[in-house]
Amino acid sequence: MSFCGNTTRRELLQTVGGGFPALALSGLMAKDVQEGHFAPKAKSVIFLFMYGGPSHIDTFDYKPTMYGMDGKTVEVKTFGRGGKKDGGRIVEPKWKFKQHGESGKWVSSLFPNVAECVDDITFIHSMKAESPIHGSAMLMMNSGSLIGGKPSLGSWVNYGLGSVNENLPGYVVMLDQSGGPISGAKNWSAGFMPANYQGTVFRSKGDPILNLKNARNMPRDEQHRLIQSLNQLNEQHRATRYHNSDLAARIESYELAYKMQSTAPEAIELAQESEETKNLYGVNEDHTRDFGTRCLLARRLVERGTRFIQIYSGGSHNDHNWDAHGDLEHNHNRHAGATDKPIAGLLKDLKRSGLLDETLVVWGGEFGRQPTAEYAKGTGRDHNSAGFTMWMAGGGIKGGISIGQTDELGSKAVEKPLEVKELHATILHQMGLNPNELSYHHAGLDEKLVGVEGAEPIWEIIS
Amino acid sequence: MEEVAPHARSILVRIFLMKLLPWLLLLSSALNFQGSLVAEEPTYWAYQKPQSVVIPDLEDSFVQNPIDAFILEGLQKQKLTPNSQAEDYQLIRRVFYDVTGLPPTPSDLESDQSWDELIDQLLASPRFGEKFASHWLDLVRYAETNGFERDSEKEEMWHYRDYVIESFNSNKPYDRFLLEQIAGDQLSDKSLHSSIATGFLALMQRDDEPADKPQAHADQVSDIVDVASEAFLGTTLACAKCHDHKGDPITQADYFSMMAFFDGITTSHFKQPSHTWIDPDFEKKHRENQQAKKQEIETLWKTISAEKLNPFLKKSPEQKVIVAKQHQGWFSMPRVPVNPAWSLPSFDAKHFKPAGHWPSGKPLTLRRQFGLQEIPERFLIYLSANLIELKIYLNGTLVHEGVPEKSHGDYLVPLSQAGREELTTGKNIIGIIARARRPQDHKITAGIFTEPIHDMNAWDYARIHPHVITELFGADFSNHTHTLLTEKSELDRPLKGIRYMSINETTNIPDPKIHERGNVHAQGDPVPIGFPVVMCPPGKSNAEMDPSSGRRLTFANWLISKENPLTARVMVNRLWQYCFGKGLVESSNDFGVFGTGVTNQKLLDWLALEFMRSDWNIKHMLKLMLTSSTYQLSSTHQEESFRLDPANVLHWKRQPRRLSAEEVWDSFLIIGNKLEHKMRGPPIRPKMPEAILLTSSRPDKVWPPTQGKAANRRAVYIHVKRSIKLPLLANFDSPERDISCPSRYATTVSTQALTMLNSEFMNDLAEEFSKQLPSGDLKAQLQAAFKTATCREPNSDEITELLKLASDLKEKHQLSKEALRQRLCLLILNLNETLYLD
Repeated sequence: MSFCGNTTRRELLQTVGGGFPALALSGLMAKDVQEGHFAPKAKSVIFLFMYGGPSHIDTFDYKPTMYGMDGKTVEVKTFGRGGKKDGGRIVEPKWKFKQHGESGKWVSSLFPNVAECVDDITFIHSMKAESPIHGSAMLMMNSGSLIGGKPSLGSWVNYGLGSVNENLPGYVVMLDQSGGPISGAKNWSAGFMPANYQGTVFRSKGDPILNLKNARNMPRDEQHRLIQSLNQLNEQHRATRYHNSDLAARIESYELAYKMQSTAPEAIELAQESEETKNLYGVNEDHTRDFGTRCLLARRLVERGTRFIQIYSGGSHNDHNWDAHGDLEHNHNRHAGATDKPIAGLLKDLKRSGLLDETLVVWGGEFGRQPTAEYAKGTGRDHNSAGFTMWMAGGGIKGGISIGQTDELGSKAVEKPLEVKELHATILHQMGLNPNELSYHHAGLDEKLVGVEGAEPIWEIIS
Repeated sequence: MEEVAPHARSILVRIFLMKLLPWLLLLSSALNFQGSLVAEEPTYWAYQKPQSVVIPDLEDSFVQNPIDAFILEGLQKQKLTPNSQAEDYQLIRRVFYDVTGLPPTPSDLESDQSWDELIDQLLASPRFGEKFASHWLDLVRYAETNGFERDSEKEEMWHYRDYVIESFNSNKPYDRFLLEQIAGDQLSDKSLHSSIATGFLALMQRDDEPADKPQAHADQVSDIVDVASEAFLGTTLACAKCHDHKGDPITQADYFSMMAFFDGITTSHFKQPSHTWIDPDFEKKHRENQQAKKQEIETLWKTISAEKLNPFLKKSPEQKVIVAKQHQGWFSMPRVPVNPAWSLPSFDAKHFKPAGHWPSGKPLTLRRQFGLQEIPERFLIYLSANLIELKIYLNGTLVHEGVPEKSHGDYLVPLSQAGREELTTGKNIIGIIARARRPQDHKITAGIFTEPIHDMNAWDYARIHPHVITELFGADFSNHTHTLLTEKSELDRPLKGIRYMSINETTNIPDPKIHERGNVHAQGDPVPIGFPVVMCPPGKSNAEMDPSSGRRLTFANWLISKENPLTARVMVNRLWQYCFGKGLVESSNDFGVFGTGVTNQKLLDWLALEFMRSDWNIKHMLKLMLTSSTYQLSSTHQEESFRLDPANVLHWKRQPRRLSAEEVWDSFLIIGNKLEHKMRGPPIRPKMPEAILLTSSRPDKVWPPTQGKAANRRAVYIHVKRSIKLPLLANFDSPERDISCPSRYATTVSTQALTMLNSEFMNDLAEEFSKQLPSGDLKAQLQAAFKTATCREPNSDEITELLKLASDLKEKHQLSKEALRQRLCLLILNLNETLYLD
């Protein structure tokens, strides 16, 4: 990466690196879309993160033999936050399942709207994660490691591909109105990569991005005039330092920031959407407004080139998320109720505009839940990382199929168990990145999202 | 594909290194092969001790000291000439930031002291330790919380940060600095200072509810190995945890041999500090005082015929139970309630849980209500536990404080007359706050009686029944006894030590074994405890364990041995990096074959030898570097030099750099005249924007802000919480403190510009800045502001531009005089020149 004195600013911007190791400039500053390892199926990812861990057997993993077994003691090995147990009291699935679509997929009454989209979805019923505890499991699902310090999935995608639209962040995280998930920013950290690959928190109300509005309410034209002089002075400073590409990049960053102040609010300007569209996402109903608005924003960001969007369903602690230790019905009715219509709206809207073909939608939490009750009384289920369901739609993923199986209680994956790294490998692959080649040299290792031993995408779900 | 995996450019080299080199190394060791493998050297340079080098004998005014000779030799070989010296203001600004992390003041710029004197002054400044601590804290991944779901505090961790600052400021020899951090508690001359140093071992992330406990423990211990090898040895050992190193001749056996030095560490207590330091001399003197007081009392009692008391010392058959000595009926809270009303009879007990278990390390509150028909003559509280702290409340009033001497295995606390007055007939509440000495003592039972439940000793009796003593031996004797007993009980209070965070250790250590693929459940072959073979002299790979010395001490002594090929090189290379922007080995945590290699090995080795010769004198090495001509080069671009050495590997010019996150924070506080130069103590939490708080799962609890001026301290004192960070620091590449960070990135992103232009922090600061400007006309004010930020006067073009902006803003936007100055100051803070050196 040598460059000579005659380099244009454009070229400089593409070669600016930060310290060691030498890196291509990416994220916000990259002008051009970078090419992946091969032609991608998907251009963007929307990861709908059901924080807390939704119960698979109450949603998409139909267990007909469990009905009528409520309260029965059963021998089954479970491992959750309450430790390892050898048996327990069955809590039968609390919602009725029905078949839907041409594929005849069984879906519970928690998701009547998503049920209409099953022919566009691949359900993976045999997911396994390495930890049934939120702290480490969240890090696992987001960064492939049980321990903090690694870059998150969205960072890898942006490192590999760069951003399409420099006026908007390439990696956006939208949090629940109740707060962030545990570990906060660790979930969208760039780990050992430079900070330009970390996720940007995007809010659906007020200023979408921190400091987008001037704290002293400086009018836009006044700010423009200020930046003009700033650029002028910075260019004078650079005149004898034109070889220092960082200075050029910094000048550019003010122009981009200035533009972002209009493009980012425009991106959240839902007035441009029809009432029909807003209704589709549930934006006009109280219980679906928050998640629906964020789903609609996700589509608008996808249209504007954002590579990776993560939307959290649930935040904070206890029943503010899917972590149904107490009253399963109350908890899941609340969170499914808040997300079912928006998710279906997102899938339908993406599909009718043709965007679904190039947008990979991923649904799931950090783990699932146990078939047995956690406590002597009540319907609460403990965490289950030995078997749970995630689903994907669009972005070159087959529709109307289900793969893998848990046992008849849903306690563990028994057919085609799949690890988190295989899910990650599939997402990277659909984005045109080879999961076993996408690496970053750090501390003597060519680190990969899928680990040094690598992982194959789940080939059978790729169309 | 170049943009995707930049390092894949040298794919062929990499294939060689990864696929072929290990086999070649294996082959070479099998055949005892001494021929050329890499370049012309018999084995890789970094594992050979530095050999003495001849300083090039060059007649040139550039050569101020040996550093310049080595640099000039390198330049001349490539037909390069070094740049001329930078301008004075640039030099002063450069060296102030590099050494203290702070900008020079206007008077610093005018000073006529020599360069030599300036360097001495800066290295002697306490600001030096604060600046260099930031470098070190990056390396050891210093954080004050544990991460994961609760991201709980590592309480008192900050003592370690102060230790690092003090160590740099006192110019502690580097070998001692390492020794203390690894084994400061195992030294014969251990002190509070050296014990706090071992906080280094407690800095890792800690999952308080791991899915796999043995694995999580092993991972935490190996985290120490990874950081120690990268930070102290410049060797990326981590990959050898799962398989033999693919580049360097380090085997998986080496990894677990080295990990064995740390295998005794237990990782269960990284929330409350389990260590309390009491100065041994002080403690000795205290014991002597206690003994003397006891002696005094005994001497006094010899003056009377104490047998007269014997009939009274038998336990009374008429003891009346007020509150039974059982768990039942006592309630506890995990924390001391803030509201003192918790011990009043009217208090609602619903927040209390039945007592029985003590939350580890925290004080326990016990609470119980009881009825009295009449006020008893005596009110004796018995407690069984091993306590270091005790407070007793009756109906909301503190009636006793301090841990008394034990009587028959129990503590006996007789209620004083004043305390008795707190009792009422009817409902009463007793509240107890107690702290146990050891985790296994976390059980307490308590009972209240009217008469002693055991036979009593004379002293206890004298405490409880002073009137009987008066009747038997007279008032003078009774009063004298009472005074002495009171003094004794004062002396018997436990000493309050300094609590600090470090590790605990067990002596029950299993024999070290390889963990296949790093999996603790897949134990492989046993390995000896020892150092990586390649770094040891022949036949010296295993540790010769002296049973009397700790394992960590053995490791530390090897680390700081002058036989160690890496320790000195790695540190001088870091010092070089801190002065010149990048190391002679740019990958300063990786001297191995996957690293960047060394650009001037002769210089590196000369520095390493000089470092050891000077007894590991950090300030001496820094002074050598800072007084070299090389350090003082200008950053001016030269087309010809650039063509020959575009990356400036040979140091023909100064490499410009951006200010670090801490430097930005500190400088801006100085510019706004807000910086508080208080050193030491618990961390601060400057105001966190609401939007950032909302990214936490506990927005209202995650970051209680420090109030007032106390929040305006240097960035090194800001709380390092793993799950949340101030946006200004995050924007300027303050690293994640989960892994060792050898050098920082300097990224440029739009959100940085947004923070710099729009944030409340910056806009408030710009206003403060504008208020600092000297009175006078706008032009003079702008000149002053510009100089404060950049250390130089603006030229006429620049001042014209600023004045034009001022008039435009005034005309078009009708800004008040104050607002106008605020805008102009904001602009000046945003200049590239403000944020860049050279």
